[in-house]
Amino acid sequence: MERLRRLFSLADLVAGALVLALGVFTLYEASGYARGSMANIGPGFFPGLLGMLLVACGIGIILVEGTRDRSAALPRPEIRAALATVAALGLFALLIERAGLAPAVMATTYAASYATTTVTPLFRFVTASGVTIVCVLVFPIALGLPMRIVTW
Amino acid sequence: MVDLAALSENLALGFSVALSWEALFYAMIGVTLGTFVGVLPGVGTMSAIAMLLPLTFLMEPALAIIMLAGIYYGGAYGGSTASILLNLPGTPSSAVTCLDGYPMARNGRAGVALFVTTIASFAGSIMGLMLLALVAPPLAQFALQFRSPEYFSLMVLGLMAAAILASSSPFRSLASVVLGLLLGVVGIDMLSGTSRFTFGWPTLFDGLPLVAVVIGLFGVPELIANVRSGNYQRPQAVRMRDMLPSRDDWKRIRPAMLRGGSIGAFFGALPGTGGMIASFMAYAVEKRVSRTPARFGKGAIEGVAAPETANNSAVQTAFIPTLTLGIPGDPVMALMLGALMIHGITPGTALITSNPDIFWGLIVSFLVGNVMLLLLNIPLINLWIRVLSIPRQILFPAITAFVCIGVYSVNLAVADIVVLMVFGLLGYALMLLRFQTAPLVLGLILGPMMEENLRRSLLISRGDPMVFLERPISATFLGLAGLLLVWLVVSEIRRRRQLRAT
Repeated sequence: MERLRRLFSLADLVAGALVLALGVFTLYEASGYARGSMANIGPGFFPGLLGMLLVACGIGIILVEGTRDRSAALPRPEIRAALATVAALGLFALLIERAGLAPAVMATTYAASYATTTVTPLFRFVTASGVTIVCVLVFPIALGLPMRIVTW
Repeated sequence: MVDLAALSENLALGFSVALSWEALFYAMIGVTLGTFVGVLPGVGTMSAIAMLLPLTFLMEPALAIIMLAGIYYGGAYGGSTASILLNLPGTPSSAVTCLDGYPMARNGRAGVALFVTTIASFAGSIMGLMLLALVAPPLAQFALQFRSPEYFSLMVLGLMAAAILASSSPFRSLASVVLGLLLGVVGIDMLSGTSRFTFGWPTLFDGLPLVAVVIGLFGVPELIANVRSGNYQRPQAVRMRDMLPSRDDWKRIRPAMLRGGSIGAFFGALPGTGGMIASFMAYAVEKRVSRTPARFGKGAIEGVAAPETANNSAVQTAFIPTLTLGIPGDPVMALMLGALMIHGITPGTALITSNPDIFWGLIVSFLVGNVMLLLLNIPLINLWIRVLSIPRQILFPAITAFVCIGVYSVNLAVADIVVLMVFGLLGYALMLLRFQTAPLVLGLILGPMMEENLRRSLLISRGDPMVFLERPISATFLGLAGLLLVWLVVSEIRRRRQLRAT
């Protein structure tokens, strides 16, 4: 690993390896579809072509882009913001049909507000309530979108 | 050469569409929301389109597209405000405006800079718009002779341009393009009935839901990456009389706008490149032709005027390939195509003749919208400065909710929100690994068309791949794509020499 890291930058190594793996997977998956003949290409032809291109790109990322600046490190992800946003979207998916628009928007906004740490729970609650009121007034009531506000 | 009688007749039709009260109203909503998201750093045009999508289902297609287009070019106006006042670009294509706009603000010339960017944006839009009105109809006429091989080769060229010109990591961008093409394959193959890459999930049988994927790839990573960057100080309000440029300023900006506008028009019309490249190019050219290049970076007014003209000119000409060939130049155009298709209109060579009301109505609405933007951005500039101080703790959760509703409203399908979530995470991971998502979206849109045209070309030629080189127009496109590859190798060698030298 250490020797690899001296040769290639870590970010490019990871990126290239992922692309390469995706290419191999695509080739494998495409091999399950009929390739057809050149005059009448089947459903496996185009994906097979793409798989080969992905493999080439993966190698290119590691060998060409990875040897430009070897010190390029992986950036630090915003884990908290990512989790809060994913939770917000997940809650919307869970609640929109089971509970209705108002609870879904309320939960989504509240969860999304956890991306930042600088506000109090009361602030989050007030924000979520405000957004919910606006959404209920705008989308089902003013625009007439077919969404139940609350379902029992 | 230009048929003036036909042009004026068409423009009259356009005015009759664009000057209706409804069209004016929706154009106003579009450009206002566009300016709003353009002004805010970290909130992009994509999110704004997602928020307004629910509205478009209730509207006639011409009005829907007028409104969505308003967001697009309105965003290009707003982007420079934060660049100048906070040294933070509101949109990627106004990043280069920071270089001289922020120093101008620090020298007490923020008002002049804001005024000049608006004038430059307007001038650029008008230049691009004139080109669009003059070039699109004959181009569509010319493209009538395109058959499958020409379309396939043109798409190869467009995707190569998107991958190679748009970034300094061509293999990454190319991988993005290919990943996009691959995602376009997902679903049941029309001809053979084979289910490809669906993993048995019925939602995917009809292909990936476009809107959810695009908003996931663009909107969600933006939210994640920018929510914690903190609130900024509220910039000072600008007084009207501090906004007017001096006579010396005018002398400098006029030629800069002409050059910037031409550069922008070119890069906008090229499928795959757009406002961001155009603005960087315009800045570089301006610095090179200047007799006093040392002033750049210290508040040179040309350095603000040229890229803003280029950016807006590119935004208008980006409609050329979209409306004439049905090949979108950038992700926003791709979404716009999607919106047209939801209304049962297939953009392409036939659009101008089959739906002249949409084409010419759109053109005239651009003119109207740009006049509105002039009013929004000069007399009302202080309103937008105040927008910059909305706390992110309120703004970002609210946008998250609006985006969810927007995406859900397209098909009223919970599965679309799941797709939004998955592609949001994918987009964020790609961002961290320094992949660009714009080429991916182009690939996703063009993928099915490309496979279809490849299949048909080979069918006509009975399996001979030389068909792409034997037809002159197709060969020209592929030749240009080949030149791009040569340029790629040359620039990589040059880069390495420079690296070794330092």
